[in-house]
Amino acid sequence: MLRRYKAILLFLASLFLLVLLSLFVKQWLLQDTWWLEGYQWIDWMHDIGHFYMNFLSTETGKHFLLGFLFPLLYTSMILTVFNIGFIAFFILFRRWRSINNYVYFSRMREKTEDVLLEYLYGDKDAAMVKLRSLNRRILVKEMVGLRKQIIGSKADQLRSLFYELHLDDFIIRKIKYSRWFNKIMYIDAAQWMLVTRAEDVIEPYQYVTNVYIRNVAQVACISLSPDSAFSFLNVLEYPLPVWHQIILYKSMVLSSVPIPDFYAYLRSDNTTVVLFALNMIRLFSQRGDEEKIIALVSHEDPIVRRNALKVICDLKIYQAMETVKQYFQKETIRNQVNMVHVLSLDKTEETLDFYKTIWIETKPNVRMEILKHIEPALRKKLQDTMPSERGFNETISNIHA
Amino acid sequence: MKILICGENPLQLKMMKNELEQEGDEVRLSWSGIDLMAHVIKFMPDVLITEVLLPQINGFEFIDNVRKHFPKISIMVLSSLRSEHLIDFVFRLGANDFVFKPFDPETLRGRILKLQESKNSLLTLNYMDYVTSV
Repeated sequence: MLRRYKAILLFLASLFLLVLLSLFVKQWLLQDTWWLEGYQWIDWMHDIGHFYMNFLSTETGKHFLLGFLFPLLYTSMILTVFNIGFIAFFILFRRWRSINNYVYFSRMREKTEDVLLEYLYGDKDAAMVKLRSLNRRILVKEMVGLRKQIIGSKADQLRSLFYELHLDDFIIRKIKYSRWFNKIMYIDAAQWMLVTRAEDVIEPYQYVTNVYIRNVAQVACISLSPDSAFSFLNVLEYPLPVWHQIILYKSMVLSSVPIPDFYAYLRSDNTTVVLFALNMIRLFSQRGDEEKIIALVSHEDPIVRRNALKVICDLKIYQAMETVKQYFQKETIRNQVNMVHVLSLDKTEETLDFYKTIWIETKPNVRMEILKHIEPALRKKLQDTMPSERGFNETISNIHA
Repeated sequence: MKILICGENPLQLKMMKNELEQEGDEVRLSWSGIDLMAHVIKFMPDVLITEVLLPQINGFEFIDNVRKHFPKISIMVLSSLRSEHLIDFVFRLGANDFVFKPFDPETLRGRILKLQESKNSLLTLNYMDYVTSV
């Protein structure tokens, strides 16, 4: 209740305060002198108001409403002037601070870059002394930035330098205690510098509500603990977006992680996890318990069904034919097209018989797809046996065109 | 050899410069996108190493412009792009070589030499064609 009318209550409270303040201002304006009398830079404010209030007190200018409204207006004007001044000061201060920060960080970044290059190509001992005195946040940022771009002996040197400077301890501490956007940076650093000790700290972040931390932590865990890389999928409650699925796939390929058994995730309650598992099975042509995939043909989600059909088609799972035929009529048109692709694996008379039974109820565009995917000999048979209705003839002419 | 390196990450560029200068090449860097063409005109490099995702300008357009105006410059593209379509597009714009990121900076010099050798052999062939009018 209070939450719903918060804005109205706030407005009424401000109005009340304004009226209260205006009563003080009225008293101030009615006085002939005040404590800053004589200081022209501020006294004009009192003089103008005082002149007008005096006029409103005389017989000719007496007006009840104006006597109440004028102090109110005057108070609002004073408050506005102060408000504008304060905001202008605040903006200028923030701008000044951000420029100063930018200059400082640019200088420090350049210095860090020079010292890092000195370490990689020059006097290592002298560079080590300088590196120990540098800002560690900038150092981590620069080292990780460079590590992402290079491989080979220089990348190994960079990694060993990271450990020599005890930056692994630093990032573990930062992952624990810094704010969320900094956590992301340090989790990323742990992933690239392979700080395996950070795994225990990062692991709980795979399930947090913040989608950015969650995704970075999941990718980091793939690199840091390849054996249990996808264990988070077992307990993930939140959706796994497609773009993150792509990142997970790329991380897996780049880190050369052993491919886990994705069939284990096909019975997950989280639909996005099932979709991810199906996509991975398809991409890696992974073989396993095919019954689990066949069971997904009757899944409640049409996108899962479609992906399951794609997997069946790519992996050539012949046992799925009966199930596909069973659910053909209940499917959406898009999925029926995928089912036709699956049925095209089985080029027997049985499939032809199945098509004959469903032909009349099937929509023309699906019929066209069927004709595209059957053997020419079977197509001829189908043409001969089926009634020459209007839609059918159109379909045939489209196919020949 | 005169080499111009354009990119976004100053540390990476400086590192490449260090690596190539050890072999006696003259290297210049540019990490601001606006005056890249001016750099090319002033320096007239033998080899241009550039990224596709450059700050402030379109890298594809830049490669296209350099190829149009300076056909003798060898262009080596350094990128983390993995799309075959885009890589093909980069070559069609006129790039001579494509290096995937992350890369080994120590092998860079070898790639450049190989690139120059292939360019020289092509030039020789062109020259012979011109003389014999074959």
